[in-house]
Amino acid sequence: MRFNVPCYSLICLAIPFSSLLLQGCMLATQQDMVRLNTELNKNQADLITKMSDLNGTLQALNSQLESSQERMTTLSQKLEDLQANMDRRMNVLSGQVTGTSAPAASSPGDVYRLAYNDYQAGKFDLAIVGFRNFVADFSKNDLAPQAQFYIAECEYARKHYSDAAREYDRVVQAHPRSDYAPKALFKKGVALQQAGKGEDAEKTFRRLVKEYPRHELAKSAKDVLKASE
Amino acid sequence: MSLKLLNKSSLTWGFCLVVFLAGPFVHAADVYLGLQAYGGSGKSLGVGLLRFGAVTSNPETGALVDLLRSIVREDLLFSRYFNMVEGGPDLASGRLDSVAWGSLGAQVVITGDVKLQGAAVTLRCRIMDVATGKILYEKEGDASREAARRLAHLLSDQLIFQLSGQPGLAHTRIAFANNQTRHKEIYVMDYDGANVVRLTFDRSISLLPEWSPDGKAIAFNSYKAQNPDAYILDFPGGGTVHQLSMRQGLNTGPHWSPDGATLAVTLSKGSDPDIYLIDRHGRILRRLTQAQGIDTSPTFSPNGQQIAFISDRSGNPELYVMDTTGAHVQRLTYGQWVDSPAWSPKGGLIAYERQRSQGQYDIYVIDPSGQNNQALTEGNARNENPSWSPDGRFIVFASNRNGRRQLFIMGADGSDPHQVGNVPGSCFDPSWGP
Repeated sequence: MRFNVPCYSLICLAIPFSSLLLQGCMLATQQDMVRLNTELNKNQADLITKMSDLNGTLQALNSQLESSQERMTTLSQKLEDLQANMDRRMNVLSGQVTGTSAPAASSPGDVYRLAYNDYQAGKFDLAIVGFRNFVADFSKNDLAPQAQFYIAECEYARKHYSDAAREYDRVVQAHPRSDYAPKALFKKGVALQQAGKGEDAEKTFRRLVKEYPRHELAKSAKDVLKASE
Repeated sequence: MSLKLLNKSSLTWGFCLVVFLAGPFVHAADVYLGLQAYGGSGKSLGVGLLRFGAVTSNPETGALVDLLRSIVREDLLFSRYFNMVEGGPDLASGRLDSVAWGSLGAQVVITGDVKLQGAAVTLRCRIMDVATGKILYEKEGDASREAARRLAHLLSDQLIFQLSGQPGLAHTRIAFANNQTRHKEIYVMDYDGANVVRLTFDRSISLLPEWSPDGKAIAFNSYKAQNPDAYILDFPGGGTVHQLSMRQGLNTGPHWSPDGATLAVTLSKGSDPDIYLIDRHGRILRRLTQAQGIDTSPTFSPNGQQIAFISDRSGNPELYVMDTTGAHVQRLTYGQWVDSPAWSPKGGLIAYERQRSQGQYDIYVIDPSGQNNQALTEGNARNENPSWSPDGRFIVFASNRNGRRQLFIMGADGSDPHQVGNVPGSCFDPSWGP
């Protein structure tokens, strides 16, 4: 019995202690869980931030790539112009030597620039003539898809939406691999919408999503389709 | 000058337009076409400016004569169309000393008469042919004393149009933000810096004013509702303000399409700022940019088919051009911090500001295909917020080159930059009205 009293007291003491201990353990576990949860959230946030950073970097790289392509087009255009100028000068020289007159020819860059200036000045009729000449005379030139795209842009600006849709379609048909093809498809869709041809517009947007799924305009086309549902 | 006075001026001018004009009527283009004989060689037309005469003899008329002549003189000089000549003999009994003015290099001379009766000012201007001494053109206008400056400006534009065949700028105004009250408010002034009139009284931050193409409204931003919102202010109209866009987050940089029916605006709506097309009632017509990053500062091309804007999608804020659906985007600048694009009314150039180094910004122009990038200003200062004159021959911008930030005008090629007006406080975001 002598031992029982302290035993009993010990037990009596132990129960609240153990419950305290248990509580303490539970609290610790809870704290661990909260900590874990916080860490998990933090990791998740870090991941999201990293993803977003990566997305941003990817977009910046994409944008730089596109810009490089545009600059390449400009440079190659300048090269072609130089070549054309050189040819012209050679013709003039050979004409002077042989006494024949050299044919007057404009460089592709000059023809394109004149048409583009007309477009900028809002002289859409003149610009269409200029861009058509460019497409007819320099169909293999790097600027040919762009020139055909601007013919359509001029028709769009004149609010001739059905004509514009037809001209945008020509970009896609003639230059399906150009970056202007998905742009032209999107604008064809918008032009058809403006012309009141909703079903055709929808078909065009669907075609864009199907044929150029990775192009950023595919997302815009999806948004338009979603809005019209 | 108060807004009331401004309204009064405009009304008075409306009245004087009705009362107008006496003397031999000449068709607008005839004088200019007739003068082509002189101007064919590409040299500027020699224009002599005589002293103006006083029809009434009260002492106040004298001061008014000097004021009105100096305004016409400055307007003609500003236009840069003419080779101005002064100092020749006055008319003798209405006759011109053709030999004396001819030897000074004048092919035509301009004379003026001023009448002051009560509060009404009458100014009559004539263009005379030096070779024949005949009157080629004559025009008269009335206005109240307060509107005398405007009267002179409007007559200057008539003279400039007759002599050059081009519309003048003397009647135009410039809207801007200014902080002289320790708050940023919207103001307008005449293109020569006179007649500064305050338009907003919000005791908040109002900025980025932008004239509508018809000159009857100014779109601007204000924080008066504790958020960067977009508003439209009637002009003159007693400063009535309409809400344009009050969405959550940014509603900045409303810029009018050339037909005045739509505006391009930056909206963040709690996310990345993007560019949207909205109508005059603020309804969203189309979202134009989708890219990650900030897309801002839209400005329409004069053909209404393109929008230049700033985006940091490549890492830095750079200048881009897109069509009005956002499908066809082209990047124009590479490498440095740029902002505030403004498309020339003639279409061939986009002006913008570019950071050269810390605290140093310069105005550049580039053509819309990304070629021919060139600096128009060069100096150890902040040269910012370019805005074109309606004829595309001049650019107004804000600069702190003389200390306080004031407005400056230069030629479209960067020539002859000079301060316009001297407004207390600092001036920001000029917009040259039609």
